[in-house]
Amino acid sequence: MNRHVSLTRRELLGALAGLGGAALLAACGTPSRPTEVPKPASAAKPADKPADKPADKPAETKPAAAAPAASGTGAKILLRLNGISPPIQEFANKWIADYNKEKGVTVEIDYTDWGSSFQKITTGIAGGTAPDIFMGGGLWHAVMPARGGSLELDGYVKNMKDWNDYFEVARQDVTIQGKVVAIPYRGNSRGNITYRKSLFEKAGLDPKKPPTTWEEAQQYGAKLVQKQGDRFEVSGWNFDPAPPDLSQQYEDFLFQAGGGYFNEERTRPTNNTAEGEEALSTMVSFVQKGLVPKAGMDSGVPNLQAYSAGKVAMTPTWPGFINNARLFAQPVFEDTLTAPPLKKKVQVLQLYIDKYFIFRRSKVPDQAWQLVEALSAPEVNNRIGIEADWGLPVRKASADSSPIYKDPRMAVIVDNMKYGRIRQAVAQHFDVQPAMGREVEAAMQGAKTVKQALQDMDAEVTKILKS
Amino acid sequence: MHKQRYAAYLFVLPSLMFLAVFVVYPIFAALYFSFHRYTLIEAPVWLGLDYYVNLLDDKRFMKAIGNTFLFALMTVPVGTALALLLALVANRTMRGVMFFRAAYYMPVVTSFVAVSFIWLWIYEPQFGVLNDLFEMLGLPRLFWLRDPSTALLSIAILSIWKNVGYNMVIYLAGLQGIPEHLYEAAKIDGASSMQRFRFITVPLLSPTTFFVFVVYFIGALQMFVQAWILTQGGPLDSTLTVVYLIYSNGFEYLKMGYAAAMSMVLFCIIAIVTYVNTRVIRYDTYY
Repeated sequence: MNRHVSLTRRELLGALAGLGGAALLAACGTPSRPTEVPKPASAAKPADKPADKPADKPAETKPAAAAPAASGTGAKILLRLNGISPPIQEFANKWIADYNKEKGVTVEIDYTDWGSSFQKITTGIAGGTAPDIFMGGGLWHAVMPARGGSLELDGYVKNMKDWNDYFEVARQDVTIQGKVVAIPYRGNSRGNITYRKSLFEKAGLDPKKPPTTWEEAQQYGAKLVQKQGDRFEVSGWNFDPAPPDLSQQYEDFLFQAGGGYFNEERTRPTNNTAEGEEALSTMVSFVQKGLVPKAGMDSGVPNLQAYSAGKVAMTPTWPGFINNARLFAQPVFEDTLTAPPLKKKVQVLQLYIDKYFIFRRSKVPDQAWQLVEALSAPEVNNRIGIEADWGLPVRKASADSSPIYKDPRMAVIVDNMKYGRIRQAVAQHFDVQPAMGREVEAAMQGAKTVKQALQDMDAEVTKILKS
Repeated sequence: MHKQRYAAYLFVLPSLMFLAVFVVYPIFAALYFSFHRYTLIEAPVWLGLDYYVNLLDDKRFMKAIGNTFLFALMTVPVGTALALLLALVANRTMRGVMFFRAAYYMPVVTSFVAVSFIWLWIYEPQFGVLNDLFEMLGLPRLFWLRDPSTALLSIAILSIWKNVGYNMVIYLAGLQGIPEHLYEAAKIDGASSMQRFRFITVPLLSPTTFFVFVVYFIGALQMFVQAWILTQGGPLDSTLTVVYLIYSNGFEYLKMGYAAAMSMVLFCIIAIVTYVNTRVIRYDTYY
């Protein structure tokens, strides 16, 4: 006899609820404890004076036992490279293939863009699947140790013969609480005055005498600007309007005013000060005096920079912008000159150091270190790390060997590194930077007064530091 | 007989498992993490309702809710009406109607990322074709995505353009389900085209309108890609939406617990709004 079995709707819903309950119990279970994370590192003491030129004397190192000999033995190493263009990928792939043969290892490269790199790394760290070696940006050295992402490299660095070849500012940048957490591979700065020779001449200015102070920059800018009614044909200055970029530009002005955005210990923001007010007021005055529209001249379209498009006569900018002109607007590139950063009380610009990290939980740290050393060799690093984007050298050997530094514009920018000061980064800086930038944006757009913006900036940053 | 039933359950089991793992579990996990401080890397720390209380004080969150609703109110009524209009045109038998239908559906199948980049060019204040057109018509040039007063509207225009084809197809199906003899009878009785539209088309399309409106509204409340690509929530947070804020807090600042709390609040808002919509629209729905 067939038994009639039926599943009613109620029973089916009950089954689904049971599945959901099981899922809830699983969610409420104690999550697997991640590897114990070291206490958040307080940031290294900031450089109070501009960085020296390449170190003339070697830094003191204690004599150390040799690092364990790293052998290939078929180790698999995952290397993540960010923002590498296809021609450089071709070079990197070939170089890695040769490296694999020579060392008897298997290096796999994972290419990604800078935009999503941080999210990928942090989720990888959480899941224990981060690559053995990964590139990180200017703020990562403060964030990664606090997140348990980076291996301390002092043991390796002590035996690194080239370590003293790195500029002091680059070594300082990657040293947190006395421990080396990464290896620099590229520098950057956005305070380099970049201008158009022909537009200077058209405005009756001498291209051999670029502005050196804030006041001069505004005087020159007023002569350089070309407008048709309300429309800017050419601006006399430029700002990158996205909040994180506005924050960085503000930071340059703040340093030049003799201030800083954090106190010495980096426990308290110091924007709501006379220096902060001077810096932000000056930025706002570029807009109020009609030298640049409040939204800036750039529109966010990739590879369409207003400077390369001939819409900006003079601006502080990255070397990458000059490379952009070289690639897409040769006449603008030929017409471009560069100059040192401006000065109010101090002639200074912030330096951003990109670096290689080794994952704290890498199963092949010795082999990963060998690879980082090999990648840091000038002949490799110049191709992969610097030349594609016109970055700055972080070591003397790169400064001496890379052909891009023979370009007169880049020669000036490399020389500007003597005015460089590392960032006052904190572990929460990915939160802090946009928060600061939003207040700068509010002041630039006229939505808040300078005083109010700075008060709110410090209040917001304090809240972030305490959270 | 029961063997067939067991076979049926076996067939749906993979889908149920998929739903359980990728839909049900994440929802309950988000609920769990919303009561904890969780940064992905450290173990969760119980905070109770702290994050929910903090949300009441979070000006950016309130701004994001306002922007999200404003965006929905800008896009849904206009997009729905436009889709109906296009469907009415596409429902005619005329030469080229297939091309017309395909042309309006093309934006739907195009990646939102690709579309966003194209519209970045269109909206470009200095070089964009839209400002050039405005200048030709004697209208002032606008900063579009760079101006807090026009940025959200700019995104709304793009979103309407992107989605109108999808809703047009749904309305087309609805229109083709209306019996022809009703129109014939109305014509015989002397009804004008406007009267036929008002007294036949609209009422009989009400189930379709109900579906389009509710689904469109739910989608609009979750706007993210356009803000991410075009404006990063700016300028001055004028295009900041709740989902964008959830993403920033979760994946940029690693405040997973806070992001989870926001997502729970969004879930409740969408549930309430959807309930209200169904009660209001369903009242007028004819079957």
